[in-house]
Amino acid sequence: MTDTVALKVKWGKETIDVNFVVAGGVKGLKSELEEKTRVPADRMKLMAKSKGLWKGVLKDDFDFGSIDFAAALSKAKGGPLNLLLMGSAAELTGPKTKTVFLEDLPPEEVAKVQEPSGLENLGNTCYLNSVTQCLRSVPQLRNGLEPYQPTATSAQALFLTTLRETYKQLDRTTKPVAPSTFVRSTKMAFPQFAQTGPNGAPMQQDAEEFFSGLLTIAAGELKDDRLMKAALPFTSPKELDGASNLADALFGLKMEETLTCDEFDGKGDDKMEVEGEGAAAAGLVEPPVKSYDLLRKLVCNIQGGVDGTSSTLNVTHIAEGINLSLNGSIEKNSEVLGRNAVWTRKQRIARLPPILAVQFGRFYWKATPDSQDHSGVKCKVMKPVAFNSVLDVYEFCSEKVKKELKKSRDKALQEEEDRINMKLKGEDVDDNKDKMETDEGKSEDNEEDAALKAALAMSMQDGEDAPEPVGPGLPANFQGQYELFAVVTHKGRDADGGHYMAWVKADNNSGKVDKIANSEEDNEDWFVFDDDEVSPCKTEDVLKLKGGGDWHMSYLNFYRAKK
Amino acid sequence: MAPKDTNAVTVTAESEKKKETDPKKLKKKEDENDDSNLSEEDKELKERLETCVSTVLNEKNEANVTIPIRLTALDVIVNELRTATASMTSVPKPLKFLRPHFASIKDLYKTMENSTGLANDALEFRARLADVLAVLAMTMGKPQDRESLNFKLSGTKDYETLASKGAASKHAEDNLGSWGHEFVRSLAGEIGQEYNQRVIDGADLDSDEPFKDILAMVHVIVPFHLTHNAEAEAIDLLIEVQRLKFLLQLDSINEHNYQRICLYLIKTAGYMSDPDDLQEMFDTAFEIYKKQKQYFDALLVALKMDKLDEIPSLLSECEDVVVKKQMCLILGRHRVNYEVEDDPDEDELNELIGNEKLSEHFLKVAQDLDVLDPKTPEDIYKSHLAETGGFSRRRDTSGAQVDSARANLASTFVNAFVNAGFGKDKLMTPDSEWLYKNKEHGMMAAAASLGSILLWNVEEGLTQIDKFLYSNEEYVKAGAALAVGILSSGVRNDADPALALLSEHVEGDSHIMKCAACTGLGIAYAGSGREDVMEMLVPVVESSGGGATNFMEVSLAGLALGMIFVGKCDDTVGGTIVQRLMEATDEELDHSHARYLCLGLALLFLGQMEKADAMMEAVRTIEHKISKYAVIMLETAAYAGSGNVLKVQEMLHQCAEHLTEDAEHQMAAVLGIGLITMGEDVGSEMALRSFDHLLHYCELPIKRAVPLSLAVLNISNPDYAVIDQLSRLSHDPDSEISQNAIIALGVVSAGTNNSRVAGLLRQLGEFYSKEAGHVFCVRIAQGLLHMGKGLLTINPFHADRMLLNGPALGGVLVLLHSCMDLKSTLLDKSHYLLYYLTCAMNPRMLITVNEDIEWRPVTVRVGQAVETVGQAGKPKRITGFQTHTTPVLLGATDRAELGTEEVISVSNILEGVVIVRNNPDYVEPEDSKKK
Repeated sequence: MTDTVALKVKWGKETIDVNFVVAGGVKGLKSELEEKTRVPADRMKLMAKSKGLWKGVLKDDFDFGSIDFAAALSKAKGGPLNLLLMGSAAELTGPKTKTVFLEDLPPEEVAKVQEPSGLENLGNTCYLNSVTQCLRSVPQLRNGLEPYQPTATSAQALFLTTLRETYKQLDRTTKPVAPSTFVRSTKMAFPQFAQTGPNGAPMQQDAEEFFSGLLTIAAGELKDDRLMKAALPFTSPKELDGASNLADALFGLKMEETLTCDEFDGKGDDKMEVEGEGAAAAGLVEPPVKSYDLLRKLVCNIQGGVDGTSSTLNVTHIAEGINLSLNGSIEKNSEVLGRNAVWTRKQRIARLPPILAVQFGRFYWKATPDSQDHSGVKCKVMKPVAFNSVLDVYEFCSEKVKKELKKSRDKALQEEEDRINMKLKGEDVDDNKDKMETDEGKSEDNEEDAALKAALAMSMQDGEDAPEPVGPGLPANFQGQYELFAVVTHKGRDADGGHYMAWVKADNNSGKVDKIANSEEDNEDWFVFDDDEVSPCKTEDVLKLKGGGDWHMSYLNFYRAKK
Repeated sequence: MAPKDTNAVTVTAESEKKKETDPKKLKKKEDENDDSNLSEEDKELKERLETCVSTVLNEKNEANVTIPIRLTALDVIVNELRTATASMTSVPKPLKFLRPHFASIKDLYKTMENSTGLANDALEFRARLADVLAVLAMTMGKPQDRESLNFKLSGTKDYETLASKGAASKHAEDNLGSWGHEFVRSLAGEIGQEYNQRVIDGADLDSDEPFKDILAMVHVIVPFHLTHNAEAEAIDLLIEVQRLKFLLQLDSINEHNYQRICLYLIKTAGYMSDPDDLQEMFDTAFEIYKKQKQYFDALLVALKMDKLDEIPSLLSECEDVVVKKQMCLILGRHRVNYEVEDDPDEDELNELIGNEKLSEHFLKVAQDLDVLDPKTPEDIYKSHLAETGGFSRRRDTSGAQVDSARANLASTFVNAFVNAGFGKDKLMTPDSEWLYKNKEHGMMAAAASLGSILLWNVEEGLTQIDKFLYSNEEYVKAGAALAVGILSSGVRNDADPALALLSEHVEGDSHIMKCAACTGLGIAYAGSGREDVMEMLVPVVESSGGGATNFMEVSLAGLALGMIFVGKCDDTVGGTIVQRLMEATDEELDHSHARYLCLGLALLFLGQMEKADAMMEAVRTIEHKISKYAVIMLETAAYAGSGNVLKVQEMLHQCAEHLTEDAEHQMAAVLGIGLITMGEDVGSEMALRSFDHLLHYCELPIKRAVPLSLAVLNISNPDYAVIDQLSRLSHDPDSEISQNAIIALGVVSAGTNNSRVAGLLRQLGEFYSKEAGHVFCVRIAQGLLHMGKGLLTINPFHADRMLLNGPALGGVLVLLHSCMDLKSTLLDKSHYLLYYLTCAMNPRMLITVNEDIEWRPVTVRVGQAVETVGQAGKPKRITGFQTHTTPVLLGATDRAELGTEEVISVSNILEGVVIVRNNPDYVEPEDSKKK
């Protein structure tokens, strides 16, 4: 019987040579190996590679006496016997944080992390679905609806409560929602939407009409102070500037309309000149008439001309269209002249809303007196009208508002300029090596500089302080810029048919976004709500909705004040 | 032929011409129109021939026209016939001119035919006449009459009589080949027909007696063919007369033509409908190789025939150690569990068979190709490339992360497949955080993925897996046990860690541990046929009475047994499984996992053809709808890769019935069509066409199996047309068709990194972003596509697509059969069965090594393989090749050949690890010396 046996133990990548004293038994072998590998003895699994030894894993009570080492050694040609050691000193650590699984979450939690859900089409209700989805991302409206308690059970009250419930339902689920009660209450509140076609199917409806109707009801019902507080928590009465209900506070634009009689103006039309001169000579001047009006949306006039007939001007951009609709000429009695004269009408915004809706005047009534039984047809303008992801309304504001906006705008402009200068300078001075350092330094410089500039600016503006508020719920330093966040589009050549879809910006957009090609505009994430189908898309795709083809084209654009 | 004879004939011919001017003139008038456009030479030839014919015929019975004179005239004709050369498209002139006289010569022969006791010269004349008639009959006789052969045979008889009389004719020798190849070929064809006719007429097949005369001719024709580079014709003839063994007696087989002969034998074998014939062809090829001392090729044939008992004799007969090593390498590739004993180099050889260096080689290839860096699942999904896709699920945006257990499970598998064999990844090996991002069975899959990542590297892998065996979570422990099994897939280790570690769990009480241990053993010992593993698993299969949980264990153990004894037809295993199936309750058989038990049984007979017949009868007695399914599985598995057309038709017949439920057997039949025809080009082409019909006219269950069948036809071989078809199916409104098509896309492109499929799968991921099941399938398919970062293949065919690796096909079949009911298998909790695919994984590399198995890079040409069987000369074996330096990757239809003469390879198949040695005859080119 041999006393010691040379063993070669393979352990992972390592090979350990052991001179095994047979008398030491399994324990002796394991403790020797523990010394060399630091693997706890109870975690050691020893398997024999050479033949003639034990089978499987070496058991602690194994008797080495049963092994004929001499035979095994002779089989291994006198070389050391090979063993395989399995084991490691490493412990399996538990999870650092408990993982929450999507599959275990209740549906409302799942809905938060997944794509928003769509609304089913209940028979030509895409007009309703699209507008509802757009307004879903107006948190002020949602907050305002929350505490709403109808005083009486009217159709209007029901309409608003069902709208609220629909939103709640949408938040809770990842599946498409069938807004049946909301559709029913809509039809009660607006009997015209309940019309059916000759085959009994519900008729196609106008999304804008629905939107206006919704705001009208909201204006009538959501007046409570409590609601206003909930919707616009930090808004002073001064900011509200007469907006007495939620619809007006959120969407209302106070318009300042100035009418000037052209026929006294030297710049008037040529044909008026003779008369005008005469009047001017007489020293008679018709004073401009100023009046205020309330709108809940801006219209982008595509046709060109107020009445939609004169198409001398070709509108290709949303700003042109809005401008066109805000200016115009009307015929009105002039007291001074004692007859009807041509007046120039000029509308300007005197109070800005937090949410700005712009309607594209794509549908119009075309008179066709020649036709047999029609007096006209409803038409759709297909031509493209481009828009950007940001709308600047500065030009459309009244002088007073402009003045206030200018303060912030100048400041921002100045800051931007400084920043660029600073950057250029900074990069000129040193290379990108100590970027962090220079960045810090820069920002400090920046702050100092900005403070200095601000002081300068203040002193220049005769100590005038922060800008006056220009509307409710607007951010401080509002510059008159609005950011596009939702679009209702229409597809189809016909005014009485086609399909509406909603395109809504996703709210999880982080700072890390790409640019569209070489432009300054961000390519952010959006969702397309095609009734119950929701799919993701990009700003790039939304900006392609300008029209001019058979693809979807924007009909209602929703903007929110840009911070 | 002596010149004297020729002179004599000319003289006679001239003299005869004068004599018979009158009749000739008459004739001339008739033929004037024909003759007018003949050249002078032709005219002369024609006249000469006609003179000879009339002499031979001797119609006027002139006494002075004696037999010897007629014989000389006949010799002139013979001479003309033999020396005539013509272009391929025209009939040789002498034949043309003799045509009008065919009938009259035949008549002459008939008058002589029955006369007996002729003098020697008359006999010779008759024999000679028969020869000429035989040649003329080749073009002029009616094909079905086999006149040519008959004349030849009676001619031969006369020669024999002559020989027996001691007056051997000088013409008797070389009386076949001298008539030209075309004649021999046509004669060979008629021999075949004649043989068949005699068999039909009741001749005894086994005795040579009834065919003595034609066999004698065969014995002349075959060597003639063999010595004239017409091996194919020789073999065809022998096949027709069922005397293939005759080849072995020939010494005209030498080192120049044995390869072509064997290649033809092996490639033609597939078209034999009778299993005995097929066997005989392989046997013959095997014997020829052995005779030529081509032990490597002989081994390939032995493996093809599943004759593992030939291995020891081949190895011991082979004297060259290097060839032995190469033989052991192919044994390792084929996953044969053979142990070399009593050999001076047994340790080294066993190491090669046991694939112990596989991991090392693979990692070195990976290093050479610079793909060692681990890849994350996101590297595979490439969601940033998606046009719109799934930004809300983007991880880096929102702070509060919510993990989807299913998405993470998919990532686990993707990670396991993509980093398979690399030993490093970014999820599992750094820390154990990822483990806990999975749920229950997902944890098991995650722990088991370590096995796939550390694939083939047993000793190092075990140390890394060890800590998971001590987890408090049962699922993690089970996963670790499974990982031990996966790790050892296809590699042998003397310590047998898989068996040592898993045995206790097989016998344990924990359900999940039991499932994991059974599956682990099945993967680790696939194809090994180990008795000790069987003894462990059989009791599990025999157990009963535990309801669904128990039956799941039973099924998984059955499947494991099937994998371990794949193609071995083992009685114990077969008996146990079929017994368990017969005793099973209806509820048990309704369980979706029952399919695995059936699959285990079917795998047992994989490729064994008629050996499965008895088992099929036994299974038919089961009174449950599953019996139909099991029978078809058995049948199709038994004929897998055989290309047997009759079986394909049987399977198509199964599909004729319009069933909407209980149609599992039809699904198996559709998959079976693919299985039977796989690896054989013509058959698979035809199968593709029949799938079109199935898609048009059949019910949903059949359509659902079509993508799976397409997959099995093109494993790891992304053929353009098939990808197209699958892409279409992947958009099918039926979710099961589309899911199967998506998985099939993965199988078809497995390990190829095919960019087209990658694009398609990304699109599908977007398209189905809301359907959890589809997304899971897309992920799995993506994992398969990028398997081993494109360095692996799961194609079961290897050795120039000649050998079918049973464990590999078994592994793929587990996946495909699971796809028949995805909802309750892979999409449910048995997703870990996907790891059976590791049995099929193999590096698709070609590395060249020296005699000591150390790397030796050489230049090789890699191109599309071209079928060269039966082609004349030395045809190019590859087309569109590129020259590389080893190591290189080979595609499914690629073939490589050495690009340098500096070395010669031991095997003529360049795949996997190839040993090369210096070419002793190599002379360095002049220009390179100058440098």
